[in-house]
Amino acid sequence: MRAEARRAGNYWQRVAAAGGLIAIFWIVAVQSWFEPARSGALLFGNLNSLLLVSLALGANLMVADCLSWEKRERTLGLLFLTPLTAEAIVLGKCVAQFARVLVLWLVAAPIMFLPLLMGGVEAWQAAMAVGFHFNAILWSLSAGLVASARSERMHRAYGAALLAWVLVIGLATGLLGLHFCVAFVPGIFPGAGLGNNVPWWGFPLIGCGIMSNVAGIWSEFASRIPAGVVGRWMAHMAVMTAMSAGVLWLAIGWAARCLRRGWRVRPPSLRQERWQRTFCGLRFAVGWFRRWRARVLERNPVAWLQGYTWSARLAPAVWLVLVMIVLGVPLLEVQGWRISDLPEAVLTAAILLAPGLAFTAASSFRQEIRSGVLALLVISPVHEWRILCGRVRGIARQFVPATGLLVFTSVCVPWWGVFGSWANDLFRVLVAVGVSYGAVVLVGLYFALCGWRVPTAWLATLIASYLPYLLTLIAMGVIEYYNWHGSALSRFIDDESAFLTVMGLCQWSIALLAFHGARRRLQRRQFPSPAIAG
Amino acid sequence: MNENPESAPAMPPLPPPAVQTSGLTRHYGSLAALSQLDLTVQKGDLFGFIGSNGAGKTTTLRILATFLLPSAGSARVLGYDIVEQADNVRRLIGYMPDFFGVYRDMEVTEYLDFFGACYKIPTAQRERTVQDVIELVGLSEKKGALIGALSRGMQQRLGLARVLVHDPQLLLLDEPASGLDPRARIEVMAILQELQRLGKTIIISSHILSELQNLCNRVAIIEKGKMIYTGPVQGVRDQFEAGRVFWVKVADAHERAMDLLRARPEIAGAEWKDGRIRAVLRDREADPGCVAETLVRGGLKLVGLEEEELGLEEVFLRVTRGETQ
Repeated sequence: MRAEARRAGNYWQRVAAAGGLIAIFWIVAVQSWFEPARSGALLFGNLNSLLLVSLALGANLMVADCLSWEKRERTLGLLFLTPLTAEAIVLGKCVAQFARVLVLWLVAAPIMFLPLLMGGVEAWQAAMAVGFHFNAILWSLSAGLVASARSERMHRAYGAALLAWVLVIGLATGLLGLHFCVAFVPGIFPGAGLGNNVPWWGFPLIGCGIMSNVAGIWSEFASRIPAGVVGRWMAHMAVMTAMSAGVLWLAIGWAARCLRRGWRVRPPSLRQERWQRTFCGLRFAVGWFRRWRARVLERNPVAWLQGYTWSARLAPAVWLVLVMIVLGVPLLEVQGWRISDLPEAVLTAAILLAPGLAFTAASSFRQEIRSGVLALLVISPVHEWRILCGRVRGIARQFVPATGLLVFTSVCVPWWGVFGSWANDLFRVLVAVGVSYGAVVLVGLYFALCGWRVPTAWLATLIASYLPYLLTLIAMGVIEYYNWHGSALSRFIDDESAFLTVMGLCQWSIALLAFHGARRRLQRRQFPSPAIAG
Repeated sequence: MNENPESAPAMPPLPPPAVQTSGLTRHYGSLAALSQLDLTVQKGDLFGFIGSNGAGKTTTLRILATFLLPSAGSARVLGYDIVEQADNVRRLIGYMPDFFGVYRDMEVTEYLDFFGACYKIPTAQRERTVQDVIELVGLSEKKGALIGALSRGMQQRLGLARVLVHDPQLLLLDEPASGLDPRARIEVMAILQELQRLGKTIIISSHILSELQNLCNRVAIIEKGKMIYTGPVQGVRDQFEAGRVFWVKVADAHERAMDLLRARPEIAGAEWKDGRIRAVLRDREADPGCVAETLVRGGLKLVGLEEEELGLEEVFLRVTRGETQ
């Protein structure tokens, strides 16, 4: 906890969290004032949703690399040589990260009080919100701890933590939704028969809706619930919190077991080596592949770095599979989806790739900085812009198959007559998303060189890259609030082509500034040094 | 006065020194890591850089390697300014820092190949060079191994191989022998001597002063960012050793022997220590023969006479106070 307290990034994180929440408060508040009768409830619901997602995702990302980092730094072994037990180590890490999340929650709490003052929100709703926040944090910590204990590499730790988070949150909200449908729906909506008609994937959505109070639905229920249900609700909340604490306890035990079994550095067994040779090594076109890699190395050594391990070479396939899954849902008409929903799927996949790109860019150079290779690179004849361009090429190569499939789908599918008038709009939007990809990579590289923690660098990358769109959201709020619908600003936002063009230009201006900043950082060696100057 | 060019043959212009710094200063905030450092290293020198932890050795090497910019002063490496002509400097130097700078999941050959490509060595030549440097540093048996699986000493050898891969003229080596076993250390020192024979200039910082003593032809001692001494290894003794010290053994009457020695004006003092007499001459110009002459003339039987060889470590301890910044 002392080490955490010394990190300047933590203080900035709190400032950023407070600033971000105030900015979001403005957007949400303006939208909530359209319905003055229930503005307090609507604002409370929307703020609660945002805070819940921020806390849950934040807790997961904060804890994701805490144990794997110790493994990588080989400090875990030193901890095990002390009288500390595995459980004590995991618990200590958990408490330290929980304290950080708690600080974030405390930063947001004053803003959450405002809707209470505005009226329309009852005390039990505030208690429910606190309860759900606490539960979401416990679930996220559980998922992150187990993933961190089982991983050693940073990317793997974050990937596993996010996957575990989706599974845990999905399962927990699914159970919550199911419980709500069975225990409360008959009392609130008599004769609705909601529990019987909901498909299996609907329960997590209901659970998420209940937890987040999106659009102030708790106030809707408040007018319908019979007397005594609130008390029952709170009792169930207490049981759920106890169960969540139990899940965290189990997760700590599991993580400790994983640490006990895996803290010693072990070389891969013969069987593992054989498996790796068989499935991860090249079997065909070995000569061609080697020549191709040699050519890449000759042209740009930094781009070559992005693919020297088999796991790095696997990344493009992973992104491709992810896009194929998203596109496959409407194409195969899974769970009521239709082929006519393909434009939404294409857009979803395109938007999903942006955080992935941002993560890859914001977490790049980390190994080079830590090991000192970057320090050696900047004193080699490889110029700073070549280092950056090489890394951009390396990152772009990871996403080429996935974006290629998206472009192919968006270009070819209108021929099947699926889109109708949607085709032009989709293509324009996809071009805008594609333009933003480049910006995300350049901005991400800048934040990667700042030496921040990966989640912070990742969030900063997303916020800086999409700043023009965030500002537009605020501007839309202003337009709505002052009823400036006929103004030049409003007309500009409504003109999609002009709007997207200007947004793209703004994003690229930010990106070029970031690229320039990254280059200056390399020139001035303003990145964390692996060794203390003597 | 007219000079006759035929009678006085024109001297060839002196080659520029390998390294020349003038008033080199580097601040980290309010801390002066280097202060007005003037240093000259001639081509072909094997130059030892000595100093306590935090004395400024690493900072100097980093500045010369163009990794750090000086706060004030200037430095030229092989004739090029390290700030204005950094690109030219980088091609000519090989810098081995005090950290490994390796990819743990890369193979030895891949790693050297990568840095060879960074220095734009053509593919065909690169393969040959990589094999040669691997052989030179004794990593032939490990060339297919993952770097993460190598021992500390092996990684140190790999760092040396990386430095050599582009055949630099000046090597800047920061603690190259740390982590090496005695045999490997001797091998590395032999490699460095061979490289010096091949015409390379080498600046090496090390805490193992006894090795520098035998290895280097010139040394510099630095403390608190300031140069205390720079010159030949022998010169450091001459400069800091007040007077020569002799160990004398007589058959008997050592009290009388000490009285006789103390009576000589050339001898600053004589004391009984470890079963022998330790006689210190007043200055380096004093005739060392006076010790033996005094005892023999006094009718004493001289059993042994030996001059104390002051090691670099002892000189270092005398001239520095071990102060860090």
